[in-house]
Amino acid sequence: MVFIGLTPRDFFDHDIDYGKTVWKELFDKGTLKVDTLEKRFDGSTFWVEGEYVCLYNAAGEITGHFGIQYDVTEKKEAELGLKASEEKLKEAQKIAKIGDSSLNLLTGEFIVSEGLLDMVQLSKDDEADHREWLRAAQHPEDRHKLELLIRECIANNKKVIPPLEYRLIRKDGVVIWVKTQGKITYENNQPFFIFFTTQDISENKAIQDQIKASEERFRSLVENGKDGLAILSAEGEISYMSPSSLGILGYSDKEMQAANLVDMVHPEDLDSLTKAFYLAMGQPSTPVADVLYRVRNKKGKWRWMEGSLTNFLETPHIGGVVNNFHDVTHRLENSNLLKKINKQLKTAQKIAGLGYYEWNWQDNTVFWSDELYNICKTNKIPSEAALFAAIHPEDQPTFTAYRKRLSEEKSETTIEFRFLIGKDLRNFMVRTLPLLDDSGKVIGLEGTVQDITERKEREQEILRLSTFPSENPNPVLRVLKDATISYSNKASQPILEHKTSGKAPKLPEHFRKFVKQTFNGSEILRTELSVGGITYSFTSARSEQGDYVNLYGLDISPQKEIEKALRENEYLLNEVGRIAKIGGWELDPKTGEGTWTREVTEIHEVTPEYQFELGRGLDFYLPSSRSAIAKAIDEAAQLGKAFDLELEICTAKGNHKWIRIIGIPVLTDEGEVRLRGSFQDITVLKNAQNNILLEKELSDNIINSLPGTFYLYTTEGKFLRWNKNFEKVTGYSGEEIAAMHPIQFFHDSEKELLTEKIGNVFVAGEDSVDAHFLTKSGQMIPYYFTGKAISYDGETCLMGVGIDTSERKKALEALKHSEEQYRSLFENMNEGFALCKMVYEKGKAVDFRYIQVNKAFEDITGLKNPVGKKVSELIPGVEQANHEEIALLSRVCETGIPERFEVKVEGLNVWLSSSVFSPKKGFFVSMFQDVTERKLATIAIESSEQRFRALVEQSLTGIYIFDKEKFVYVNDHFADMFGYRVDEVLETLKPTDVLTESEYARSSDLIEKRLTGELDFVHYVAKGLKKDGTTIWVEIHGSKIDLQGKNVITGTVLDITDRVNSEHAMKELLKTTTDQNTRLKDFSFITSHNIRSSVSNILGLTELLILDPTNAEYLRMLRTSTEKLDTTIRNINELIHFENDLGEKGLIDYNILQSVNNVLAQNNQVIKEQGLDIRTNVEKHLSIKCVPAYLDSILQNLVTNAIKYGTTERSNIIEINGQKVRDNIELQIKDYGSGIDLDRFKDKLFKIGSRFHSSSEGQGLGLYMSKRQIESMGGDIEVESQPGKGTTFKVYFNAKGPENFFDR
Amino acid sequence: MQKGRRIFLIDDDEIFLMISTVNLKTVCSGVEIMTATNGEEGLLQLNSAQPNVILLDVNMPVMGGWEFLEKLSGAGIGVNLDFPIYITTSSVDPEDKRRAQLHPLVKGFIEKPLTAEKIREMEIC
Repeated sequence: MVFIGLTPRDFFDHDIDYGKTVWKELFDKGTLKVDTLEKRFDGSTFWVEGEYVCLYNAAGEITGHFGIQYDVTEKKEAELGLKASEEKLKEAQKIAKIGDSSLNLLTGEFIVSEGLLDMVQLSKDDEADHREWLRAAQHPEDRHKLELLIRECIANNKKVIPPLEYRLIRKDGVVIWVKTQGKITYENNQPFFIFFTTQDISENKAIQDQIKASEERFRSLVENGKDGLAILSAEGEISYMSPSSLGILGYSDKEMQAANLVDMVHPEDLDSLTKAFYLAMGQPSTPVADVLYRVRNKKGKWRWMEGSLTNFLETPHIGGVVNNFHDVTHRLENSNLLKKINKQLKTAQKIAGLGYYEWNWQDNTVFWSDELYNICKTNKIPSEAALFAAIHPEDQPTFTAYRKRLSEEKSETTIEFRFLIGKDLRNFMVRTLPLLDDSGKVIGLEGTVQDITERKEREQEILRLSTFPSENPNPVLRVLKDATISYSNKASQPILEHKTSGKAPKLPEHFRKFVKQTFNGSEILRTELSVGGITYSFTSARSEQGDYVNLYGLDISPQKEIEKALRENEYLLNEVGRIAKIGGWELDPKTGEGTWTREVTEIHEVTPEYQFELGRGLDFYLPSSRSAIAKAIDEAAQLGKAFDLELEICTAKGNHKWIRIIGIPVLTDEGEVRLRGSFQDITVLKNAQNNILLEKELSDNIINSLPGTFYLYTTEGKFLRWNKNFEKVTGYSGEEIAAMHPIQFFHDSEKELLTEKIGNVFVAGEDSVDAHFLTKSGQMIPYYFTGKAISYDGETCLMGVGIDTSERKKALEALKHSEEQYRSLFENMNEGFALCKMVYEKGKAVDFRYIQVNKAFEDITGLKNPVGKKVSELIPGVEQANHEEIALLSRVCETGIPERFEVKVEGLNVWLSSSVFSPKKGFFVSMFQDVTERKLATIAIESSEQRFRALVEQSLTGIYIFDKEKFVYVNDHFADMFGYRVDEVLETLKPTDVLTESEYARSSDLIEKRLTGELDFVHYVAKGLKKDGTTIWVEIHGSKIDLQGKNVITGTVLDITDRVNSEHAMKELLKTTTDQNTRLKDFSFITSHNIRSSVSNILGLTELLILDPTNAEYLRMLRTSTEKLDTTIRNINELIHFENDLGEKGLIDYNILQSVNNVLAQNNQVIKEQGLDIRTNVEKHLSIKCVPAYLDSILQNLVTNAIKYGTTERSNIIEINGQKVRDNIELQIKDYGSGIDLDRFKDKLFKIGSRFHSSSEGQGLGLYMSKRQIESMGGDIEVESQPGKGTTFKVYFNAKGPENFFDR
Repeated sequence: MQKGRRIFLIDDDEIFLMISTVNLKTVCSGVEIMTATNGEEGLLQLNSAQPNVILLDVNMPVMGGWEFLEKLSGAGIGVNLDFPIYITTSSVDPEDKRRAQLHPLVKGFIEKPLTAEKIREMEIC
C-alpha cells in the first residue's frame, strides 16, 4: 500500500478504505478510545487498548494523530474466556430449562439468571424487583412453601435446601411446575448467602400425572374386575393375584402368598392344569382357554374354575403367564355339558405418542387413533382426496409415487412430506406397514404418522447455520430469484445498498448479472467484484431446487491493492511520484539490471543517463543500511517478500540522505520475478520527526489536547511542561505544580515504588507503572503512568503521560465479580456440569474425555478427579453398556443439535437427566441431574400402569367404565363383542345402547342404584344388542368405583350367547330324555302288564284243564289268551322299532290331499258299509316336509278312530280339513259322535296302553304312536271334545319345515 | 265259611273273570259271584250287587280301578262301604302297589292269576 504523500483527508476524498471506519471515527470526533486486535509480525495476535487524538495544523486540517496504546491481551482473553465459559453454562442451563438465582442475606442483593427469567417469561428489564415478582408468581396453593422451607433449613443450620416442587404463574398466566433446590453458605455461624437452582419440570410432571392417572384407571379395572386374575412365573409360581382373585377364593393376600399352589388344586385336575400351562408356554400371546380345574377355597370346599392361560412372558410389563379365571361351580353344578367361550385375542396396537391409522381395503374401513386426530387437528377422518389436497404441491408427486409403491411393496416404507393444516404447514413422517389378514393376505395398510415439523425446523436451522455462519468475517448472501436477499450476514452489510431503512437490503447492480448466470447454470461460478473499495472474490452456488443462490465472498483487497499499485506504476512514477518526490525503480534480480525513474536519479544526485544496476546501486548505501537492503532484495527475489525500509544513503555528490524504499516482487507475463518499488527522499521528514516532540510539535496546543495527563520534568523533579488535563485531574493550579516535586502526587505507600520507577527511566530509558494519582482533595485515582528519558533543551528530562485506569479497574473488578459469580454458580449448582472432548477411533466416536467438571459432578457420579481422564477409565465397560448414549453424544458433537435425554449409567447405577450441547465440533457440554429416585418411582408406576393396561387390554372379557351418560373406557374385546370399534363406543354410545330395548328399564334402574350407592355390585344376565342389530346374551358384572374423584361404573361383560344356547339345547335334551324315560317306563309297565295278564290267564286255564281236561270252553279261552300274548309280544317289537326309527327317516315334500285320499281309499269299504258322510276340505297344493308313511299312518289312525268311536247311526259325518294359517299347516279330523270326557281323559289320551272303549280290541297304542310321529316331524297334536257333541283332533305342522318351531 | 257271601269281580279280562269265578266257587262253597268289565259298570252295579268283597283290576278301559276307588270315596251317603276291596292286577308298576297300600279302602294287593291258594289265603269265603 502506498499512501505516501497523502493527507488523512485524502483517504476519504479518494475513497481509500484502510481501517476506514476507525479512522473516520477518530477524524470526525478528534479523539477515540478503542480496543483493536492487532497482528504481530510473527502472525500472533494481541489486543491493544488505545486512546487517540488528532493533530491539526493552523488551517485546522488534520496532519496526523497521536495515541497511547496498551497491550491488554491478557485481560481481554480472560474476559473472552470467561464469557465463553459463562455462555456454555448458560446454554446448558437453557437446554436443561434451569435457571439460577442467589440471595445475599446481608445485603439483600438478589441476582437472578436469564434462564430463570426466561422460565417465567420475564425480561430482564421487566420488573424492578425480581425477587418480589417471583414471590408473587408463586401459585396461591403453593405460596410460602419455599420460604417456610428456607426458614426451616436455616433454623436447623442445614447447608442444603432439599428439592421443592411447586407452581409458578408465568407472566403470560401459564402455570408451570418448577423444582427449586439450593445451598446455604454460613459465615461465623450466620447464614450469609443462598444459592438456588430452579428447573422447569412441567413436562415431567405432566407426563408423570398422565401415567399416574392411567395407572389408576387400569389398576381399578383389574382390581375391580369380577374375574380372578393371576400372573404366574415361568416356573408356575404366582407373582401377582388381583384382589378379585382373592375374593373368589376367600383367601387373604398373606394366606395366598403362603399357600402352596399344588395343594390348592384338586389332585385330579393337576395334570390337565399343568398340561394347559405348558401348552400356553409354547404359544406366546395365544390363550389356552376353557381350562377347567378345581381349587380348594378357604372353607375347604372344591370350587370349579374356568381359566384361560396366556403366555405373556415376553410381553413387556406383564412378564408372566396370565390366568384369567372365574368361578364356574354354579354353572357346572347345573350342567357338565357347558360350552366354553373362546374368543381370539386381538393384538393391542398402541404406539405411544404416534398417530396410528389402519386402512382396510377389504372392508373399506379407516381407523385413526386419537393422536392422529390431534396431529391432523381434525375430529373426523378426511377423504383421501382431501388429504392429498392438503399435501404441499411440491411433495404431491413424491406422495403419489409412494402410494403406488405401497401397493407393490410389502415391507415397511417411510415418507416425509409437508402437510397443510389450516394455514400452518407441518412436516409429517408416515410409516406404513401392510395390513394382513389371518392368512397373511394384504388387505390394507396400517402405520404411524408423526409430526416432525419441529425436528425439521431444527434440521433446517442447522443447515442454514452451517451454510451461513453469521460469524463468518467474509460476506455471505442468499439471493432469491427475484434478486431479493433472503439472508445476509454481518460482514456483507457494507456491500449492500440500503435504499431506505427498514426495507430489505438490495442486491447491488453489479451482482445481478452474476447471480442471473448462476441461476441459469448449475455449476459453481466465481467472479471478482469490487464494492466500496474492497475487492471480493465471490463464489456462487445454486441451491438444489434452484430457488436461491448462495454467495460467498472473500476479501482479496490486499492482493488487489498490490496489483493495482503495480498496474498504476506508470502513473505513480510519472505523475504523483514527481510531485511527491517519489521515484520508482525496477530490478531484474537475476541479471541485476534495472531502471530508475528520473526522481530516483535526482535523489541519488546522478545524471539522468546513469545506468542503474544492482551492484552499483548498493554502493550508495551506508554500510549498516547496505546489508539491510541487500537482504531485503534477496528475500524479495527468493521468497517473494515485499519490503518497506527507511535507510541512509550517501549521494553521488557526497550528501547524507534518509530514504524510504518500498519493493514488491511481481511476476512478469513470462513468469519471471521482477522487483518494483518506490523510492523517496525522506531526509527532511526524518529530521522533522526526530525533532517533532522536542521542537515544533510540542506545542501547548498538542499537549493540551492529549487524552491523558502529560508531564515533563527534570531529573531533579522540576516540572517543565504539563498539560491542562494534569491540572484538572490533580486539582492543583499551574503555579502550584511548578513548585511541586513529582513524588508529591503520590500517596506515601506508593512513594517508594514511584521513586524507583522514575529513577529507572533515567537509567533504562523508559518505564511505566500502575499507581494512584493523589489529588489536591486527597482523592486517589488509579492511573497508568509512562516515562521516557529525553533530552530537552539540552537537559535530561522525563516525559510521559498518565492514563486514568479507573474504568479499566472497574472493568477488571466487574470481570472479577462476574467470574466469582460464574464460579459460585458453577461450583454451587446442584446440576453436574462437564465439558468433554469426544475420543474418536477410526473416525468413530468411542469414548470421551473430561476437560472440565464442577463439584456437583463428583457429588452425583462419585467419580473422583475425572478431569483429563476418559470415561471408560472412570467407569469400566461404560462404552459398551451405554454405547447408544455415546452415539447420541457423538451426534450432538457432529450436528450441533442439542439433546435432552435420560440415561441409566450402568456402572454407577444412577439415572441422569442430561442436557447436552456442543460448543464446538468434537466437544460437548453436559449438564445433568441425578433423577434416580424420580426415575425409579416413574418406572415403578409406569410398569404398574403398563402391567394393568396390558392385562385390561389383553383381557378376554369385555371391560368397561362409564359414567351416567357415556362410556369412559372400553377395551377392544368389549367393542368387538358388540361389533363396534372402540372409538365408536366412546364417542357415540350411551351405556344402555348395547342392550336391547326390553332391558332399558332394568339396566337404567341398576345404573342409577349403583351411582346413588344403593347397590354396591350387580350381576345379571341381559340381552345385548350388537351394532348389526343381532342380539347376544351377556353376563354383566358391575360395581361403582371412584375414579379421580368421579363416580363411575366399571365391570366386565361376558358374551354368554353360546352358553345360553347350549343351556337351552340342554334343557331341550333333558326334556326329551325325561319324556323318553317316562315313555320307556310306561312302555315297560304296559307291556309286562299285558304279558303277565295273558300268562296268568294261561296258567289259570291250564289249572282248570287239569281238573276238567275235556272242557272245550277252557281250550278256546287258552287259545285266545295265547294269541293275545303273541300280539302283545309282536307289539313290543313293533314299538321298539318304531321308537328307533323315529327321526331317522328322511323328510320329503308330501301333498296332504294325496295322503288323505290314500287313507280314504283304504277305508272305502267300511265307509260304504256304514254309509258314512266323509267331507274333505283340504287345500289342493298344501304340502309339508314329512315322512309320507308317518303322515299316512297318522291320518289312518285318526280317521279309523273317528269311524270306530265318532260315528253313530244318528251322526255319520266325518270332516277332514286342511289349511294354511299364518306359517302353520293345520289338519282337522272332526266327528259329531259321543265325544270324550277330556276332564277325565285328557292326560291319558295319548299315553301308551290307554284304552277308552271296553268294546274294542285296542291295545292303547294308536294315539300314542301318532303323537310320537307328529312330534318327530316338528308338529303337535291337540284334541277338542265335548261329550255327546263330538271330537276334533287338530294336527299342526310348520310350513317351513320341522327345524322351525311352529307358532301357536 | 259263610254261605251266601257275594264277591264282586271288576275286570275287563273275560278269561280272568271266568277262571276266577271257577276258582272262587271251588274254594268258597255257596259263594255268589258278580262281575263288571270296568269301573263304570262296577259303580252302576254296586248298589244292586251288595258285595261282601270286591276284587278290583287296575287297568281297564273307560274307568280304571283307581278312578273307581276315587268315585267310591266321593260317593258319600247311601253307599255301604263296609266291604274289603282287593286289587287284583298283572301290573308291575310299583306305584300301583304303593297306592294300594296307602288307599284306605284297599285291603290287599293280589297279583294275578287268582289261584285257589291265594283265595284261601285271603280268607274271603
